Amino acid sequence: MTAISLLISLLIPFLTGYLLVSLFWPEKEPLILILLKSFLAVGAGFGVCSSLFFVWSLVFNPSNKGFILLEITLLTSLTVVYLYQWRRRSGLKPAVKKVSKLRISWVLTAGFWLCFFSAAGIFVLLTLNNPHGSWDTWAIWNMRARFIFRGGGYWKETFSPLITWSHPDYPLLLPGVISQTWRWIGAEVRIVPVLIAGLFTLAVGGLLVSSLSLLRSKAQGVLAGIVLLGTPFFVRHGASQYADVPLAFFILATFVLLFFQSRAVKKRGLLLVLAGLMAGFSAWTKNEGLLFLVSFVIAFWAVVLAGRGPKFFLKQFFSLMLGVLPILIIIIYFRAKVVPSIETVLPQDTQTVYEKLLDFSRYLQVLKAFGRQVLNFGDGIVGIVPLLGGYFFLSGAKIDVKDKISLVISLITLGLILSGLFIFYVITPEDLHWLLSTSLDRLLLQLWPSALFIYFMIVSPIKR
Amino acid sequence: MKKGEKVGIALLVLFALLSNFQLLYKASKFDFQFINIDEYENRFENLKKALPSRGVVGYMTDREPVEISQDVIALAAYYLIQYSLTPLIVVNSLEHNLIIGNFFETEVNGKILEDKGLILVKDFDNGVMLIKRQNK
Repeated sequence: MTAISLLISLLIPFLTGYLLVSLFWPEKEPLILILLKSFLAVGAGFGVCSSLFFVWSLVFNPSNKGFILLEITLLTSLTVVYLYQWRRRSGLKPAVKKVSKLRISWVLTAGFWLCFFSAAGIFVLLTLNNPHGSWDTWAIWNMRARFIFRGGGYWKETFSPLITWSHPDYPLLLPGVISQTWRWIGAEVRIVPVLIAGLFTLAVGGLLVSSLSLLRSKAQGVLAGIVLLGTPFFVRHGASQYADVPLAFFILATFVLLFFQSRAVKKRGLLLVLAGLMAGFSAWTKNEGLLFLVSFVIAFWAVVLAGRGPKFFLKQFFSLMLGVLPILIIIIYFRAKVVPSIETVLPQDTQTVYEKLLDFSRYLQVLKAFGRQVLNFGDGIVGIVPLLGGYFFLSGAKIDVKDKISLVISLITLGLILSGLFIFYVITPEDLHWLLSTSLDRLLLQLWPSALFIYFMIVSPIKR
Repeated sequence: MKKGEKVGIALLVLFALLSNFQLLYKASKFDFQFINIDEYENRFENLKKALPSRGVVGYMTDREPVEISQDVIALAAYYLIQYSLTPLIVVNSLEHNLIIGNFFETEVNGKILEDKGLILVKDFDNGVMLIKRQNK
């Protein structure tokens, strides 16, 4: 019975996500596009259900079983609209017609599946090592999920200033999804956070491979998949049940949708609505997602306005914000009303911040840490970044003219995020050495799948 | 495809696989486990029955949960109590009527409690105690 409830509880958000994605992206072929939409559906479904669950909990409480009815109603409504749309079948036609028919070499095929199964093995073994996840999982994410599930009408006590060490200001996408799934099952089943972590990890890999297969070539997609799944730090963090991999998913999904929008024949901006939604969900996953959201909107604003003029910009920006706004309103309400006065960052006065900004040694310390992390990133037998640098040197670059604007937006976004993180470290009130050594690798991990996506959108595609 | 490109692809595949196999081997030795949380949570099963289902309780230990860099085990022990007893709020303080004692040494000198104006309510035998403040 629990297994069936578990299956249904995960299937409902997935189907909701798939139908939602399909409403904005009605194309039904080729097969790999269906796969891509399925991977997008994982995050979209969890994001929508988690946001709705938060609003429901505010109005009623998390224990109220009416939420299940709401989810079923939403799914039914989306199905009706989807079926209606199926008959009309008018919609976007992104440039995914020319899927490469070239067979990919056996080295890539074998390499990919070996990487996939070894990554799956690592995930399972690490989960058996630590079924409750790692430190932040039980100190923050799953503790908050337990609180929401067990707390009933008193669930808001999880944001108590008495336990500021648990970061009550952290957004609720992940705890919301977990506690809502438990509500479906009616019990605190331990495998739920593990499955959610597994689905997000799989979806990041799947999204990277399928999007590059469509936008570049199958071989390019598969090679990117090998590099991502062959990054032990990524798989390890997937298994840790932290929120970094879900955040990485939403950042990647935003970029992927941006590129598909630029390839779309009809520029109606529907995929931008989805991109905006994904960017919004990133900010509902972790506070760093807010930095991404702001950076992305600024980059989009600057590049599209400068490159395509104000009329085109306004249309596109409207679509983007249509996706962002519902989630942004939820986040603003959460920050303003639910966790209004909680200080989880050590206070410091303006004078101290100013002194730190003028302290050159802090810049040097942060710069060195960034350099070390980039060179050794991934926990592999060698640093993967220098290796990718070498591959770029051998293969060269080839950029599709249709991708130029998306590429510039993506690169500026990443640049703004990295600059934001850099300044954050320079002025942090925490011990700088400790903070750099415990967080920088995870912050870079959040950007890693997107960095790989952008890299393989630039590097010359593999012909055969 | 250029020869150099082929070499590049082969190297990327090789390093990805070797990196994964290395972690797979380490994970198979099960030395990633920081603490057995199931066992740890079981320690508090009887204590849970004696506690209110919600509210705020204090926390006392023989290893203070201070900075993570100073005593990672003590800090984990405290955070894990919160994880286990949620939705009860466990505060690292003696300024509450009910206090959870979580001791690494199972034999606790009663004088320690007395000196702090505390009374033992129940000893659960495994380093876990329920303590309350003496009424003044």
